[in-house]
Amino acid sequence: MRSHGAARLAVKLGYKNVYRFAQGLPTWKEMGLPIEAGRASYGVSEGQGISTVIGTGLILTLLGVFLGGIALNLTPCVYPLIPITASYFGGRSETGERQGYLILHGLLYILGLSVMNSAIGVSAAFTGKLMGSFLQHPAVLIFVASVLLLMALNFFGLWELRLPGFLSSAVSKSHTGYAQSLFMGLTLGIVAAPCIGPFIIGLLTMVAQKGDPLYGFLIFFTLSIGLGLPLFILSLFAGNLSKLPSSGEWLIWIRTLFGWIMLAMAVYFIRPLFPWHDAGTYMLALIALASGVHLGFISQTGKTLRTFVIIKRTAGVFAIGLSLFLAGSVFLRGPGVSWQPYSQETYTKAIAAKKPIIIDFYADWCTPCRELDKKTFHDKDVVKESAKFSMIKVNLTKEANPDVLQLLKKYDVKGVPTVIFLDDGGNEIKELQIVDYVPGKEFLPRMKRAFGE
Amino acid sequence: MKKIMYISLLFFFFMSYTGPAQSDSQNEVRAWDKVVAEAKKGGYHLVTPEELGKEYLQDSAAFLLVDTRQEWSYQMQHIKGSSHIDFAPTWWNQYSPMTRSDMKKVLGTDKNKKVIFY
Repeated sequence: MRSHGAARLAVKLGYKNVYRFAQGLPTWKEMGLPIEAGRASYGVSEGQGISTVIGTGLILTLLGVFLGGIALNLTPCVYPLIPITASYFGGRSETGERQGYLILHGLLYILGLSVMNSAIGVSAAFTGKLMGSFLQHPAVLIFVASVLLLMALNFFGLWELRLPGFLSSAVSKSHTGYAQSLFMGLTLGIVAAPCIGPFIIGLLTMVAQKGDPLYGFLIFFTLSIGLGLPLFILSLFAGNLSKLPSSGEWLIWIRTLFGWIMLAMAVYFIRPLFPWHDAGTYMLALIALASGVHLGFISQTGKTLRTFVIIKRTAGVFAIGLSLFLAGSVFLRGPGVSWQPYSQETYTKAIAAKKPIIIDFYADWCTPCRELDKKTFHDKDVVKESAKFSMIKVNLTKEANPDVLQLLKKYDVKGVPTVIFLDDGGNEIKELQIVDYVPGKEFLPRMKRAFGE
Repeated sequence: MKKIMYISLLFFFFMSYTGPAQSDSQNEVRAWDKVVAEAKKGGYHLVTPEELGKEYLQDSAAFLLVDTRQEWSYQMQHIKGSSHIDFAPTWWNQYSPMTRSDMKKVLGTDKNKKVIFY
């Protein structure tokens, strides 16, 4: 499949004599023709290749981030700024600047916002790459979760976070010229920090864990577009500003909503630390349920606004539905095998534990790997039997580090998926190796044989 | 044209060779069908192991072999003298400007050069 895509691209780029050797290396080796090992002779593959897998997953993530960006306009730090910013644009239209120039101002404003946020996103991805497994460390995860928890409490109104006065006055000053439109966009990123900061921290950690600059850019660019869009549209119709609902009680409800979201994000980050695989998902479902009941039905804010009550109820029902979906998806599928991500430490520990070991080499884009995960490793008997093993997962979605490379060499792994079995002495049982999808009922006997049964 | 004939001959050879009861070989034929269809759609040719082996032994500098597997598989083992480009099987890679420029770097400027991907 890889060679097909590459050959196709070469044809598109105008190369005339493109061939594909579909049988590949195994046949070549069988024929006894020369092979070699070593690094790539071209520097190409050693750079920051684009490894972001564009699929429905990413598109949904980006859509969520975009909607989140729009929603952030309703937070108490941003919403009061809308009239200020919009009147700035409105002032421009009164002084006789034409619509076209207003659009240019609006675009510059969004550009300023995007540049600021995207720079943050890309640098997070690069540092994430440098820090590597540091971001997977339990202490770091707990720290990020605690910050998010504090922020959640802030949103619930238990304490107050304020921006230094000189910063908030900087935005309300009147600005002139295109450079100022750009500058206002840049500053919005900073001024809104107390409200959107926790989101940014959460997203940054996510991006840094992925370690992909393109991913970081896409996430933060989309966020900025969402954040800037309402202001952009408003600035074009600055005369309609009076139709905007005034700040009021309902802002407090929005705050609470964001509090619940922060709480959910905190759980999301500490999820890998739970000993029981599905505990995190159940907790998320619980949070969704509680937030739905609270926001939709218990909260008394904004009772006088009829439309707002409808919005509240809808949001509540939606959150409860989400909760049922989350709990249901885990409940129906049943628990899965609990894997440990590979590191030299887990590997050495597993060998020392004198238990048989199963190592699964996989990659995100590999279909049989996903099938193994979804079906085989959720098979009831397989899950039960897996408790007797040390189960280790090696992610080969991106380039392998020297550690992993050594492991690949040691067990002669040629591709994904590969599942290998080691006996309790740490020696591989070669004939049990799997290199394709197998259903649970074929996987189980292999597990038993690893015990010599 | 000669190549297409060769491939279809190979195909018939497969067909006549496999008995209907052997599901494994049947799967192989089906997989090969898919490869042929992919090649047609992609506008490139297929090369058989025999052809490639012969050509390689005669003059390995006459063409360019490109390994499209992951970097680590390339590092572990590859056909002697082949270059490498990591080509993840996602549709994005067809359009990604970064992949495109990487590809041009590996293949060079001579568009008539014989290029073989595996």
